[in-house]
Amino acid sequence: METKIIKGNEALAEGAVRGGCRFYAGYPITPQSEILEWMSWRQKEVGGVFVQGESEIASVNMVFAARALGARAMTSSSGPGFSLKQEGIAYWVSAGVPAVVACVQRFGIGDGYISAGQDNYWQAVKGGGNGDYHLITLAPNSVQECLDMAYESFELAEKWMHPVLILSDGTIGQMMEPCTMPVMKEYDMDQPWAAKGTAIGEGENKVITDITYFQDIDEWNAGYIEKMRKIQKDEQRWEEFNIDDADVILVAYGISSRVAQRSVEIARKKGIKLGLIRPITLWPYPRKAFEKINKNCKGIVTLEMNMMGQMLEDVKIAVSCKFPCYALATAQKVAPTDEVIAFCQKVMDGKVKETEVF
Amino acid sequence: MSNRSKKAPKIMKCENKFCAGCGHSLFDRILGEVLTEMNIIGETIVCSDIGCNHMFQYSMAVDVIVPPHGKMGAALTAQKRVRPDKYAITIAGDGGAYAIGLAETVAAATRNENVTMFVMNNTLYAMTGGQAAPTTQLGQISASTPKGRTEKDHGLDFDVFNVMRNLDIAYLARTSVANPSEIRKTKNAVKKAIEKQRDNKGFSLVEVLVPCPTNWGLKPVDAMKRIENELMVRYEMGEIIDK
Repeated sequence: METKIIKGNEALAEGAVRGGCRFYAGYPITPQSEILEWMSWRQKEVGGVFVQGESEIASVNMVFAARALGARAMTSSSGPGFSLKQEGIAYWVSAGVPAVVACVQRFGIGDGYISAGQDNYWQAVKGGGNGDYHLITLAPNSVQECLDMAYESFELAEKWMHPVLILSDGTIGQMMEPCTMPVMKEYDMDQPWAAKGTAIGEGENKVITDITYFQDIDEWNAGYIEKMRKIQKDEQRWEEFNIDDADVILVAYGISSRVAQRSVEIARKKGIKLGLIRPITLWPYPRKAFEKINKNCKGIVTLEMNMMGQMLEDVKIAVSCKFPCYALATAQKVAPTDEVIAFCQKVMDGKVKETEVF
Repeated sequence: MSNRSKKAPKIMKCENKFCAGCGHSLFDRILGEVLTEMNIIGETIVCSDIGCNHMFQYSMAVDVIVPPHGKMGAALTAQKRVRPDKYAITIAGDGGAYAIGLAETVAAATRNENVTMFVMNNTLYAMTGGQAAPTTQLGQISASTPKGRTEKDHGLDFDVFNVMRNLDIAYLARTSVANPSEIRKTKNAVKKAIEKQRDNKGFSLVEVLVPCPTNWGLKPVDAMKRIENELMVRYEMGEIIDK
């Protein structure tokens, strides 16, 4: 297999293409535009379709249609562009359209900033559009994972007939690392569930739609909640480092998890017993990882690039508030390791007030 | 008197659920006949709008996808790009195609996508109870223009011909269902629009003036008269682009 040094965003695009993506529609927005640019020439090369939509709204709905007709289809965005896609994504969910969306997070509210952030967490994992649903959410922390997750995303979406979100961030998207390229997957878009025209006498015509017309709503609801329960049980993924004897456990995903892991390594050399849980799926949240925390643990610290410590509430739920929980929320900055270690030291010494959940 | 009634084609699988005197059911029957006569039901995927128009799904046996309200221009684009061998057609409402989905409608036309839009113009939002649409006429009373539409408060009404007449598209026409002659013209226009797609000529749009007796507060016959006496006078009718 070949190895290339490329950007996280490019890896994400290439991973999707190699995973069978043959339709991409998107709209330029920093810091994810490399995905769109890569797709603009790459889809042509592989016989797929690239459309630069007139807006994020148009793009997300193009993906709905392309996927409803069977093609592996995706879109991507960031910040306010990701907000614009939420209505369309909710339609994917209710119609059971297994499409993929990537959000390369930037920091800020509204237009915000074009620099990296991790403050789309709530929007990403708590629904985002109307109605109660969660997207299966994968969080890469390296260029290789951008590629691998995009490569796998369609099969994961098709397994559950449910959309998948890849929640990257501006740092992971813009940085360059060596990346191993897997083989191209073949995919037949003539799937049994896809709309491709039904002649009279060929059987029931297909209607790819939300729940309101053709199925009893209680029946639909029961099926959906059952599917959500199964995903919650089966798809939790995480990585853990040194948590068995840790006095303080860091919890971080994406770029913050890279800093957290390095912090654990440095601290351990100094005899400070830190550990790390890195959620790989943000929904379902890897609650199982938290079952292993030893009862003497003095605190759990989320490290995340937002103001309010958005992930903290999921940690508190995962441990049923049995441990003191803190957020080291660094807003638009990637935290330096010494700051992380110093904060954890203060937690160990009982010098930090527990962080409130907003 | 000879019985000249025609049996509905098989694509019309059951009775429709539209209000008495609604124009949508007339249009759906016309489209059903054209798809049947062209023998392309199995090659057609209809993109639904959301509104009264979407109720064709109950009574027509054809593959359907339902994106959000108004987004048919985008969805049709993707349909045709991923399956160029299938017909990408929408039955849209005037609110969907000209208000919330105007960007998508015009963008698809500007790109001259090889797709077909049929837009039902009943001069208001029918399903939600008769609020003003871009097509609501000056002076027309609606649920959200209780004293009548005025230029000062609501702006001028929308005419798709003014927006599209200079675009490089394959077909643009306006017809109605107000009388048998107009119904024949509508059927011809529907067929022609789909033939443009078959022949890879590009974007086609047919606006059909349809009555909404329920929200117009008129009896069905009077609603048809309103189309003949008011709307067909106010609007330019017929084909203005035919390439």
